[in-house]
Amino acid sequence: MKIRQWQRQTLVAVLTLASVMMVLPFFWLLSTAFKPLADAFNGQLIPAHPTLSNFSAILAPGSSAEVMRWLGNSLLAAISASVAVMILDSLAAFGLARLQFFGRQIIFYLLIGSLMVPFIAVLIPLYLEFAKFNLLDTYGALIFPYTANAFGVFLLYQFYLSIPKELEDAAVADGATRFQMWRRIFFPLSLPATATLGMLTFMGVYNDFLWPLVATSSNSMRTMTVGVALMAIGPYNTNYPLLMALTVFSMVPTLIAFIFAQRQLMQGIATTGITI
Amino acid sequence: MRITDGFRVLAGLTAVALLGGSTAWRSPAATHPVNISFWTSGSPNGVTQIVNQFNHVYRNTYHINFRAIPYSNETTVVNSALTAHRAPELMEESLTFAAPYAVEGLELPISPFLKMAGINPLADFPKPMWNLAALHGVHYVAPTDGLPTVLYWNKALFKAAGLNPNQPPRTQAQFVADAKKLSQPKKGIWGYVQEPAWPAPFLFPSLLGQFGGKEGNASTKKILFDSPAGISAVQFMYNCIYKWHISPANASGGESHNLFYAGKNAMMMTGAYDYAEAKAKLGKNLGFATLPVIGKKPQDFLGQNYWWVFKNPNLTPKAKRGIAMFMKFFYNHSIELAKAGVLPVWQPAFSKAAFRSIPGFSVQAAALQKGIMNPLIPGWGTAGSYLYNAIDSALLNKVSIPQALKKAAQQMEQTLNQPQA
Amino acid sequence: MVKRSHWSKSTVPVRPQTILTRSEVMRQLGAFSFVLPYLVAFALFLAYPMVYGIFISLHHWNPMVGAGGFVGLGQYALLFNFHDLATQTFWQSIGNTSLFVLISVPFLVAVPLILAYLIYLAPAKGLFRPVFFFPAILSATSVMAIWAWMLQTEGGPINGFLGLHVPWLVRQPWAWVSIDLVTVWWSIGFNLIILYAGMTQLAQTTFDAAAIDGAGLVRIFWSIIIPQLRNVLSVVLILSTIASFNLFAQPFLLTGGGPANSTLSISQQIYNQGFGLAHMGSATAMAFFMGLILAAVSFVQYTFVRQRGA
Repeated sequence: MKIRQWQRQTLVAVLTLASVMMVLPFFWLLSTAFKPLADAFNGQLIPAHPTLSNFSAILAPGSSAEVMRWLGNSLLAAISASVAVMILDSLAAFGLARLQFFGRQIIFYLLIGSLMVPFIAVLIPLYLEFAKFNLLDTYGALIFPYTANAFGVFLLYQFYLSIPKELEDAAVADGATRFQMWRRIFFPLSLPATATLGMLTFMGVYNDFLWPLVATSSNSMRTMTVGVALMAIGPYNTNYPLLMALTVFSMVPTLIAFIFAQRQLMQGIATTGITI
Repeated sequence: MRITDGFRVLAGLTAVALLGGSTAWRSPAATHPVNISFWTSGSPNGVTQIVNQFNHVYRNTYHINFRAIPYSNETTVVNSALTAHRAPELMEESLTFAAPYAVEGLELPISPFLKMAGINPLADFPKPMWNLAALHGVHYVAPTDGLPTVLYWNKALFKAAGLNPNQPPRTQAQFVADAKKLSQPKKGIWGYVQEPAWPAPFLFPSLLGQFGGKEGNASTKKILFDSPAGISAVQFMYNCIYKWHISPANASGGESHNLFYAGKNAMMMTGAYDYAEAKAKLGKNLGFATLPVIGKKPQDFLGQNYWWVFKNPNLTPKAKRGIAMFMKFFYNHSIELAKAGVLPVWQPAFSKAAFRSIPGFSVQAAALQKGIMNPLIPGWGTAGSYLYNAIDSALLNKVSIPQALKKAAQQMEQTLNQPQA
Repeated sequence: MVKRSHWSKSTVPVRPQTILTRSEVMRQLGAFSFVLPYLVAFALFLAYPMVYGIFISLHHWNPMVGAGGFVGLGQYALLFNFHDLATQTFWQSIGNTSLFVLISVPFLVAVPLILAYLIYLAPAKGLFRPVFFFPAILSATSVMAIWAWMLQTEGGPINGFLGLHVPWLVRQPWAWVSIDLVTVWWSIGFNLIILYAGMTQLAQTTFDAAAIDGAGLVRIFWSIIIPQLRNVLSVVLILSTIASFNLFAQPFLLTGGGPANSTLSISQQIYNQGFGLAHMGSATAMAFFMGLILAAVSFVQYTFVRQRGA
């Protein structure tokens, strides 16, 4: 499309201004995390007396913020859940899209129907179910519920439908079993879509708030998100530099992941968004 | 940037890693101490020291697993833990939150434990704190510490405003006059900060009592704060903002504290639980006294922490003895609480010189004499949100004060009198 | 053009079967075993809780004590007993949440749409997209911690910068303005990259033809981009509506539901009722009711945009 010079300049100016507004809060956060408490309200963006003491305070042994433990919990839950989701959903999607069996249609509509159920509707029964099986406040509680989401099955189902029948026929001619067909053809071909599903699940679990808030009660079982939130409305709500240091710390894993995988992630979300 | 800080971070990381790893190496103790978990939603200051000493002295027989839970989330944390069968054996919380658990049959009567520990509640606790804590004639809870409402002030700001830094206001007139001198809105410095949204659950009952009112009647479950005294109490908060302009309007949640710690708020009237933190931040510039008489007479709402034992089929006689021993140990080491700025409620302590010499203790002990408490009605703790919402609306100028209080009283009465859903 | 989904056309053929031989049964079981692992998770953590939830909502249920008395549809009837205070608060929270949806969804669609178009036209696209996207990867906690601090009335940097005392989190309508502002900041990136990807799939030749006809950038946006992006826009619209209805963390962590419950969301009311007051029977009834509203709204939206898009 033809764009005039002044239009281009205006565009860049507007977008730059908008970008500054987007990142400014982030710089305020960073700056406050490196300020001593006395300077917290002085309004400077560049700290006059930068210090690491906030970070050493939250990382000190015996701090009520068990950050390393929370980080470990979050990573463990998010990685386990996304690996489980990728495998379970891929297998199920393959079965539903490419195999024939009795009840397939019913199962398919059941899954589609479940996409309409908001999480809040099952929050309490799920909580009581976990209580009944003595699984509250365990890693099981932090992982299992995320494996039931039908979104991934649906996403991969669509992908598998689009894979040409010829590939399948060739594999059958080679004497491949259905499992081999999944492992050698469908799973590898769908790797980008599956990886997107994995990344979305990881982000969803790592950043989830309501479920880990109710499903855990001991400090050492909290996830990063919940741990930080409870410090924010509790002991740290009058010490913003400490809270900001904690927040910066909690962001590090997602930011690192984002820097390395932003292209794939954005690509994945875009494709998902325009195909569903 | 101080380089040593970087090393401390590294050291902290290493220590955490070592701590994590060391559990695997720890040799099994010759005898297994009985574990007793103990949670508090109050201040861990002082309690931590007592727990550590107890764990050291009784290292072969008992071990207290102590945990401080965030006070803003206490009900949900404890409810979740009870549902998950992971509730602590011993729980310390504000008195009002104890009542529902007792009604639901989740607490054990406390008297057998006190008896085992050789504690005589009638003599060893302040009388009202013991007498008011019975539910249907049974004691499930015993007091652990008191949190009177107090006045904090910034001596440096007093000096800068030409006031005597060692002479805090004692009457409403003095309070307003001092605050006017202290306020410099253009510089962002205020004499006092009245937050609309969190009108200190400590401040309203204190002022209500000072004006001669009562919150409610525990036996009839009748709400009484929508009285002329209640209206005067909220009117005072309102006037601080809109009439005398000694407080900013629309202060956000937590700003009274934030600005006080940043040297931009000269006075706070709130619970004594912030004493340790305020002392750490203001040092010798911190002034600490009993509340001024804003109303007609000195009265002081007493935040009350109590503890109780949750009913648990796995609680062995040995663990029960351990709980009793810990209780006795806790009371006998009350001095640790006092040193941390928390008021012990152990009667034998009040006459001792060692306590009297601790700064802050005498102020709190004096406040205890004028202490008033919430009526012990199950559900009072959660139903209180109607009152705080009403005060919020009144202080935002949305509703008239009498209307706000009247509606809150109706809502609370309806909630407290309805059968549990 | 944008590919449409297949599932509504229900292309799931079932082969008519009359005789089931032994090998056919084995073949079917083998096929079923691919779906089985997921189905177990589905049954345990989604289907069972749904059914169990119905059971719970027919009782008084205090989780610490166990199931109380059976009340039939009493908990649902209670949702329409307007003398009950929890019911009043529940309906207030429905009103609050609906208001939030009505305000936030237009912004969540329009702002990313305009930004996506600007980026589409501008140079250095690869630079701008991650900048707008990155808040979307942050957790609710991180976002709210930053903004709760930025939006303080007296000591917050925004008021400090503006030299004003805007009661961002303390008074209405500012509390909603703040919550919407934060939500937009947090989540436009997600919609932006979907819409941007949609734009890149449109045929460049239509733009060029329009430009030759003398259509300006604004004209092209209104007359070509928006109509042709209708399908992608509808997806973004539905996703944003669902996300907005599930509002929880923003008011929970920014305003605590205040001032005076005016930003209390449905989710927070359910959380308070279930986990604060331990009235899980009525909390579950509330949650199911909310589920129905949400399903109805997304269904209506879906069929509506579908018909117009067909």
